[in-house]
Amino acid sequence: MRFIIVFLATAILLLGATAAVNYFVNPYAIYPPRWFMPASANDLERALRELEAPEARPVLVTLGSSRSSRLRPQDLECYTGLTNINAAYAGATPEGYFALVAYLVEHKTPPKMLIVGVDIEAFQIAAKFGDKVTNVPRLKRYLEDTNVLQEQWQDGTNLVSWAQLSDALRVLARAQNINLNPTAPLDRAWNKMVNALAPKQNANNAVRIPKAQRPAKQVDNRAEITPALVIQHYQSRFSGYTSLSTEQQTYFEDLLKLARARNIKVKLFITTLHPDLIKVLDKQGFYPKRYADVRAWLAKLQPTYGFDFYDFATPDKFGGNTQDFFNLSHIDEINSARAIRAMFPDAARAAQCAPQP
Amino acid sequence: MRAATLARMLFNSYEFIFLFLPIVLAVYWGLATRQRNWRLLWLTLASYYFYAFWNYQFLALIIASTLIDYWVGPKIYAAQNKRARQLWLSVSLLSNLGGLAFFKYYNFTAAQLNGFGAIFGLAHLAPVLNVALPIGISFTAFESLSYTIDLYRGQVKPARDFLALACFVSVFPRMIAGPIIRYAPFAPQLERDPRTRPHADDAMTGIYFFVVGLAKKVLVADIIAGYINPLLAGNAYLQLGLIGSWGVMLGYTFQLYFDFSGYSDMAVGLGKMLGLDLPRNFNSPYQAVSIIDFWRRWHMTLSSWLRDYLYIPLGGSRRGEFATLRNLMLTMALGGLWHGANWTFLIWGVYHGVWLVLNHQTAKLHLETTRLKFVLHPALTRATTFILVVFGWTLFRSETISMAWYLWRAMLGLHGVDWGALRALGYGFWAMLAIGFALSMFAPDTWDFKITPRARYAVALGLLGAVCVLMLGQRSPFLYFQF
Repeated sequence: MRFIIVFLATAILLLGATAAVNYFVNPYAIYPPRWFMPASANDLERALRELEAPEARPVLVTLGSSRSSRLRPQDLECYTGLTNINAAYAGATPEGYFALVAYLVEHKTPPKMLIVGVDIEAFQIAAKFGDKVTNVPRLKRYLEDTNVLQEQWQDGTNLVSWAQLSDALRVLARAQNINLNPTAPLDRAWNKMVNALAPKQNANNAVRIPKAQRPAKQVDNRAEITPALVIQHYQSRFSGYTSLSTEQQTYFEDLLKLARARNIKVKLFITTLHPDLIKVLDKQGFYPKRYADVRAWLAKLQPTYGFDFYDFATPDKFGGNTQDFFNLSHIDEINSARAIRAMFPDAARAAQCAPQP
Repeated sequence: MRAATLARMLFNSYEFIFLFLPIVLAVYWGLATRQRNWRLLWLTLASYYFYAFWNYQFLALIIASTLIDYWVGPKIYAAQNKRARQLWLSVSLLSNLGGLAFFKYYNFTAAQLNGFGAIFGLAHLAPVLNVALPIGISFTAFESLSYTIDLYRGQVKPARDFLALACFVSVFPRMIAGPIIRYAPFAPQLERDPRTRPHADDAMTGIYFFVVGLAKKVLVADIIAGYINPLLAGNAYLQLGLIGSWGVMLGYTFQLYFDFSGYSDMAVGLGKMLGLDLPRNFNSPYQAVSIIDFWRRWHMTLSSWLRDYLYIPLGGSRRGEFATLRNLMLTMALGGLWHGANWTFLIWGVYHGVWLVLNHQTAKLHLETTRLKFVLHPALTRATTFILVVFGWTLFRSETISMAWYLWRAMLGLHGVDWGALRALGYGFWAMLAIGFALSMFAPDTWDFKITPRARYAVALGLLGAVCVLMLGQRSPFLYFQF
């Protein structure tokens, strides 16, 4: 009997210590203590933290990928008079939109309006862009048919997992300014994302700086986003995109159902690509077909869910131009403001808001 | 990915270790002080629940097959003549082998028929059905058959009641992937009052086997799997040359051993915790000095089942040399096919059959009395056996014959020497291979280490168990579950 007692005591001691570290460091932000920044460098995590901040009371929430990230809250607030948080994150997919809104509905006051930037490639299989939602446990649960008991069980078992413990140790090291692994993919991704979302200073020049002429040790990676790189990246994104993912379509429809059930007004727009990029993608062949598919599908859903639908696939469709682009795949704040104006043409305060006609 | 969390009861899951097992043990030992029927009923229901976690629909299949065997058992035993006994036995054979044949081999046979028919423009001779393979069916079918065949032979008596038989067929520690148990040694254990056993010793041994088995699985097999699985998925193996193919196949060799023997150890440990003795399934198989020796050490309960219920009924070694070798080949081929409906398994069985035949023939040469006795040096025979086994696992792991062929050629250097694989596979991988090699070649088997109730062992097992629990985050089914 002594053997069993010693065995159990040893195991419980080690597991208990692990659980305590995981609970208090809370690297995935799933337990009450929030003393440290979560381990995840996922920008979805950043968007979620912004939404769940105690002071955040968003009445209007912007969802979408990095292509919607330049819809500035001050512009939207100017047009609508509604407090806005832009929860767009790079590589967003409908499962992410759905999970974010489901989280808001459950934990905060549901917003009155959603603006959703729909990327054509968001209906490509999610794995292609990396499963960001599954890396954020607070959101992951909305994608699974689990009940409260199962969620609590998962949270509990996570306490005694090596994966969480190693991230907890990284968080502790980061808090102590100890860089355990400076080349860790998460850290690199984090830096890249922060740089990419940094306020625009001289975007047009940045796009055109040839790689070879870049100053040494340049930290801002916008210069790296050359047109060739964007083209290559988007060709890869659309490569093999032969049909819309029914799974992502289901999540998107779930988002619309949730919005309808909660009386949340939804405005959808197809996000903009530079005509030069579209020209290249047209040659590849997948983009025009999937663009038509997404358009047709949204048009079919519109009567059922009553959302406002705008096709901003090219800048001319909202009165934008081909110069005000951050790079070939992202419009900048000026074109974004034009897109906002196109969505709220009758806003009483439009005359005082950017951009001036 | 809108799906419920993978709701499968694996031994290496939090659900099993923190919920299922403690509850089952607590109630079982609580009932042990009461009546035998309550104890068996609880164990049977718990086992059914365990199975239902995998696929509740197939639970009906297990219960139906048990009911049939329970019904025909006394009839086989009481039949007055051989013909009547054979008749009743055929009902059991039909029920157990029929299920196995349908679920495991029907689609394979239909695909072969259609492939053959396609030559004559008849590609749809037999419909291919969308049926899943009930997990553990190969094991439960063999165990049920051992009961009715032993009844036919007059070696056992019919089950005392339905509970005894149901518990034998379903008892959860070995239900999914063995060890394959026999009714004769197992039934008396069910009738034995657990209070008559020294609980503390059983619990200690049970903990030891379970923790060591869990460590084999999560700390060795799963880690190696993480390295090699991507290289064996799809067509990725086509990039392997001499070094990569040997690395990957050695990795699989150790993964399979630590995975399956880990499961078997855990099953034995769980049995001990319930006061039941399950048979040994492994005896350091990679230390074998011949293929004959290998099959005495690898999946021992299957080997002995095939010997007793297939090889010996075919005539064994009693009808001359040719018949002996034929029976050996036939047994190994069917043993290969038992693992799965694929040509690769059949060829793997034949491959081992050929080596067994050669092994039997060379044994008759009595090389130890000749100048060639140096070839019988244990280091040489062990190395040769190991290499032959690794080549065999290539067939076993390959999804197609062409994949096996490619890997064989790569292992023989016919696809070049990929020096880059040394770095590409990573230092961690080679370190794991070294650990797997050392443990399987030089360490004593789990069964050979005698655990004693010392505090230091308890602390070591406690630490090892806790580390294993920390690594349970990734659910990884055991390899033999597919068979």
